[in-house]
Amino acid sequence: MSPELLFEQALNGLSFGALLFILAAGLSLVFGMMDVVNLAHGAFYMLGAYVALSVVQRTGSFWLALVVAPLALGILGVILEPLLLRRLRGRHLDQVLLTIGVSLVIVDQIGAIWGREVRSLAAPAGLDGSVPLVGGEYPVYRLFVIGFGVLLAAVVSVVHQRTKVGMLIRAGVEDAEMLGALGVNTDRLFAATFAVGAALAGLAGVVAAPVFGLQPGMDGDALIYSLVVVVVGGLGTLGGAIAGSALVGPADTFGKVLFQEFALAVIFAIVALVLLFRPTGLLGRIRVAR
Amino acid sequence: MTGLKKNGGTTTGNVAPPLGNADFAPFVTQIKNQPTKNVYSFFSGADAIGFIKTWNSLGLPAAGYKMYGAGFLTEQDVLKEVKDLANGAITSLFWAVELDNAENKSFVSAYQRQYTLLPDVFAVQAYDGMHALDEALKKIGADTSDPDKVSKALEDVSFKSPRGDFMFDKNTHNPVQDIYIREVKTQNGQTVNTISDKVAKVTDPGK
Amino acid sequence: MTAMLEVRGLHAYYGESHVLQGVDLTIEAGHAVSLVGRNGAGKTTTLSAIAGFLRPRRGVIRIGGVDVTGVAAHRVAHAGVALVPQGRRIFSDLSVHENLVVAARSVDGGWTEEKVIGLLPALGRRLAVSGDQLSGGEQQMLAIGRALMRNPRLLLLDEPSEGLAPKLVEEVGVALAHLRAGGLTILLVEQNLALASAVGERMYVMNKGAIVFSGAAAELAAAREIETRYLGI
Ligand SMILES: Nc1ncnc2c1ncn2[C@@H]1O[C@H](COP(=O)(O)OP(=O)(O)O)[C@@H](O)[C@H]1O
Ligand SMILES: [Mg+2]
Repeated sequence: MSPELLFEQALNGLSFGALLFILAAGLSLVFGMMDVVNLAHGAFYMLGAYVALSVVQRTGSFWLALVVAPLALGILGVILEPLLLRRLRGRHLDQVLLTIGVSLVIVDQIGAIWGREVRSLAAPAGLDGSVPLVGGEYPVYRLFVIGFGVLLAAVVSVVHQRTKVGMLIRAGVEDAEMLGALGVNTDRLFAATFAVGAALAGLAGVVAAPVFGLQPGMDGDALIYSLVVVVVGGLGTLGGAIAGSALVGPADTFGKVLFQEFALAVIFAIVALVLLFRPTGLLGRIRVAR
Repeated sequence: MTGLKKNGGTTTGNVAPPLGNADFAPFVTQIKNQPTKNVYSFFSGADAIGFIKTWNSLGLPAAGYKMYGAGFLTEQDVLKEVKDLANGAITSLFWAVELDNAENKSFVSAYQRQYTLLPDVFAVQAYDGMHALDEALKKIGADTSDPDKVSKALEDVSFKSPRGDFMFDKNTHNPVQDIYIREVKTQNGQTVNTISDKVAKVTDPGK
Repeated sequence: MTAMLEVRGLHAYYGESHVLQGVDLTIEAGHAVSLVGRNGAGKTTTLSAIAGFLRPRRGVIRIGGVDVTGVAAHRVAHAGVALVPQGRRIFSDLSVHENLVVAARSVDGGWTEEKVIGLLPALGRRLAVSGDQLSGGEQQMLAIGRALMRNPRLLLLDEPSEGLAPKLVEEVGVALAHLRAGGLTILLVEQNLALASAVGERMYVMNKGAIVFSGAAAELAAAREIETRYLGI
């Protein structure tokens, strides 16, 4: 492979990784805080993309969609958590099963509302072209995705490390029960966490739509990749989501190119290796079960 | 592939994304690693849309690459999403919305009246399937008590379809039909497959 | 006068296992009480039920006369209860400073970060250090300091001497004596009988999920057969 193509593939991998970060951050947050692997995360992602499609069709503004879709998903999250998950508090396996049910309902409703054929969303004006780059042209939108992912990671890291909210999140991820005994309303904290997780999934759906399109089955792909990222990076830690997506994005891209026949195997080989040598993930903590 | 080689062509390599693959960029970038600029692909539906959009965004048309493929690559379900991004693609299929025959004209206009969309090949297949069944049943007076009689009647069906003359190959039960070479063009604001050539009465070798 | 803590006929289960079998406990405001008993007697479970971690099946818990039976932990905290849990449960990802402020509930003239450091000087030198870098003694001081940041009316402590060197146990004792002198109501769960009787004016002995003895520290010391039967001395 020529250096130019290598560079282009690296950009492909990084933009995919940036998307994976947006996608996996919410899944990881919800798991860390609530001990729930939210299997509806992929459906939230899909719903975000379709809401964006409607917003763009109605208003023509991608940027409005980038705000509205995460907001809509956040509202859905803040309703679903108290309505459904809270009733099963402490019964983690039942909660996980419940999220599968939620995901089936959402995906089915998407089919009923938006139809089941393939749709696509154009990149916003200004980002829809290509720029000359070593090796030819490269789509501006994919460069935007890299920048957006990095910016989001930076903002989220600052919030995580430097703000009161971040402090509550770090404490809650470690020991939410203790945080409750210190006067923090964990019901509200959990609902807010679930809402933020859903909003991040929705955001990922909007950002991904111009690249990957909208189609039935996109929820499952998104869920599997985000699970891979959080398992590799370390469940429930922000650093883990960053490290996991930075590794899995490029690894998936180069895996597809170098070992075409084993494209998916490369990703799962990484998962297997990480689980074998670092069962808690690259940056995972050892969690003490209580 | 076999046909290409028999007629003196060669292939330089192949790139194989898994089905239902989300990100086409790694594969499209990899095409640039090939010595040829003629690329044959086999995609349909979501994959075709993803492939064509990525093909364009990575600048392959500007770099002189040419897209060929099986007709499903640029059927109307795909073209309504990618529009002129597919212009210039050359594909082969047994039908195209632009086909100039009486059956097709009335089929297309009836379909548009009903759904306000241009029909795609899948609509034609479903329509012909029902048409064949209808012809067969007419012939046996709708008496379906003997399954062998029904299948014999089906085998002998022949009619004028939107794709042209339609009949079944007695050996394989595949249709015997004309195959059209089509090029994607945007005309009057609609992106469609225009007919550039035709191979008459092709019998599918597969069983 | 209403008691600061009143526990009546408390029954609690882990699944099917009946752990608390009718616990009765009373602490008057401003008093310090120690709860002792063998490992597995149900002391931690009693504190968990009071703190709102575990919903009791029967019985009543009142804080300053207010019924808090079975309410969420944060509502118990808002009723004025703070817990120094067994195993300390420091937030290891948070700095010492953050561990203190995450709990803070400011009250005029009450505990502040400075006052906590005044009481527990070991913390003052480690404010920027993250929880997982602390020694066992430092973690224990932090757990006490964190609870004080709530400005509680009732302080629950679960085996604060566990795993500490004698000198550190002594420091904990000094701090608790200071808090008691300041009028804070204290429920101290301890296996260390010396510390328990130094802090608690009144002693409760627990066995198999029920209180089997209550009285002044001196009375317990005199009741040799209680000590041998329930405390294994
Ligand atoms: N989380 C739990 N699940 C099931 N049983 C428990 C749990 N915690 C404690 N127990 C059991 O409850 C009983 C009382 O435990 P605990 O209250 O921790 O005792 P203590 O604090 O007096 O040592 C013991 O038999 C213990 O094994
Ligand atoms: Mg205990």
